[in-house]
Amino acid sequence: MDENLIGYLLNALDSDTRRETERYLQRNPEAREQLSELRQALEPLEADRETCDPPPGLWVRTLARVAEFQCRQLSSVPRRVAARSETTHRTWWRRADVLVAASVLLCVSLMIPPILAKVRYQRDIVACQNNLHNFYFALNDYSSRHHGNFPDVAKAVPAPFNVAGNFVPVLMEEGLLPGDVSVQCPAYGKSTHPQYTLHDLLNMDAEELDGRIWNLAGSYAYSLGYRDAGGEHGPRLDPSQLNSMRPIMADRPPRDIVLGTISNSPNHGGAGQNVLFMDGHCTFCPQRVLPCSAGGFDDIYLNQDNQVQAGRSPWDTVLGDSAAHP
Amino acid sequence: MDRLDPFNNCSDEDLLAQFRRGQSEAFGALVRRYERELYGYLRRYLGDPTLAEDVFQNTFLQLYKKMHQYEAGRPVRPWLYTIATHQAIDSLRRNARHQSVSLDQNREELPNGEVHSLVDLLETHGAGPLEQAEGEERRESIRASVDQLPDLFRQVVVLAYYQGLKYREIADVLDIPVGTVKSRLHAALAKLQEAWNESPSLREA
Repeated sequence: MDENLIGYLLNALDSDTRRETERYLQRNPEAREQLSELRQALEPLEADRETCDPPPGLWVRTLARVAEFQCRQLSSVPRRVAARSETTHRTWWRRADVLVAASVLLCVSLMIPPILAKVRYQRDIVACQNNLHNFYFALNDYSSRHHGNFPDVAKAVPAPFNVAGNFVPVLMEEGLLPGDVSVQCPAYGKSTHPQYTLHDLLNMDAEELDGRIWNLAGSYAYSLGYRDAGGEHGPRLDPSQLNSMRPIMADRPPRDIVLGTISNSPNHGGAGQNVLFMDGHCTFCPQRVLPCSAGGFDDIYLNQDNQVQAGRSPWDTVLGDSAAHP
Repeated sequence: MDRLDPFNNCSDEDLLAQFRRGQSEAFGALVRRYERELYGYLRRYLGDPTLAEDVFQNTFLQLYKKMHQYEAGRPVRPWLYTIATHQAIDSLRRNARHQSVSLDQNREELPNGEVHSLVDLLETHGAGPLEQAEGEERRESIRASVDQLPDLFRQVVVLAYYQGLKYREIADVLDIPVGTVKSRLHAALAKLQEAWNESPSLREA
């Protein structure tokens, strides 16, 4: 029973043992005295009771680590194990040496193309990020002019023109896009300048729109906003939110997205996608499921119902390709 | 953000159940709920902020990996502490910082031949105005005395006193009988009192 007294003081006993200990204390004055001594004995520990604050953003980094693992797990493909060749008895060393030298040369020659490809791949990612930053300058200017709102593709023009790609004509109409911006990701196609203003778009008939719809935002995706009981809401720069975790644009989604696959954008060979966030930073994400500002994870190309439609909440980001409707 | 948090009224067990049903935000809510408490525990246990952050992240990564082992209704808090404690022990092993020294060990001889224990040495670190230094010195001394406890005792002191876990929960976390938790805590307190009695400033206080 005496051992329970410390637990009683620390509130570490289960309810039955606690009641039992209370009864024991009531009828035993010596135990009460012992309790008082124990209380005094524990008192010095109180001096170090204060806990340290966690570093800012710890939970975000934790979710990012889990998301990274999650995506690595999803994207890993079993590799075929190379069959080990049987050791052969060396009979003629000169011939073997020649073979080794030839192998080394072959290996070196085989290594050069992948190295070059890797350099080209990295260069394309950076070029794409620079291009997205150019878009951000225009988007940021637009939001400054429109009380924090980014182009709202659901409301900018009526159906059937209300597609994600119309954010480019909206920016063109206001003369905000820099001259060197391209609607094609540098890794995916030739540089293509935006072609249509909002005026041009509205003068197209449905057939013409169908034919040119992929040219609007080219190989990029843009936010479809979200829809709740209050109606449709476009993307908005909100100082009270973690804008560094809210994507606004990215490389376009894979074509087979409706099949529910978890593949990445085709722009960079399926290895990942550049994502532009509302605070202006751009990151190459090897996975499309990212930590979201409300906690948890969010597929940037699908809403919570796994549909290419407007999100279901302010934290449910959906980046649609040029032809996607909110 | 809290006013918008739809998980405020959910228990830890509900959060895990919701996450397993596919509501990914529930996992984030659990991380945020334990951010301060568990980081505080690891910071105290490991004594190093970088290590504590790393182990905190690993704890939730392990939780995520072991999600399929979770039995519905099982208390989450002790499970989380179990994972965190195992991760912390592994981390200490990896960083070769695992020290098991008692207050009687590591006595250091000063140039004048006087011998001081670790607690005494720590007490001499106070600097600045006396009034401000006293509180900090006292806190450091207390922490040092807890840190110098053998690991088996230190774990129960931190979990019972600072983290407020029940005996049953501590027993689950450390995988030992409740009786052992009680006896370790009792022994730890005896050792602490012994250390505090040897320390002049704490004895006076």
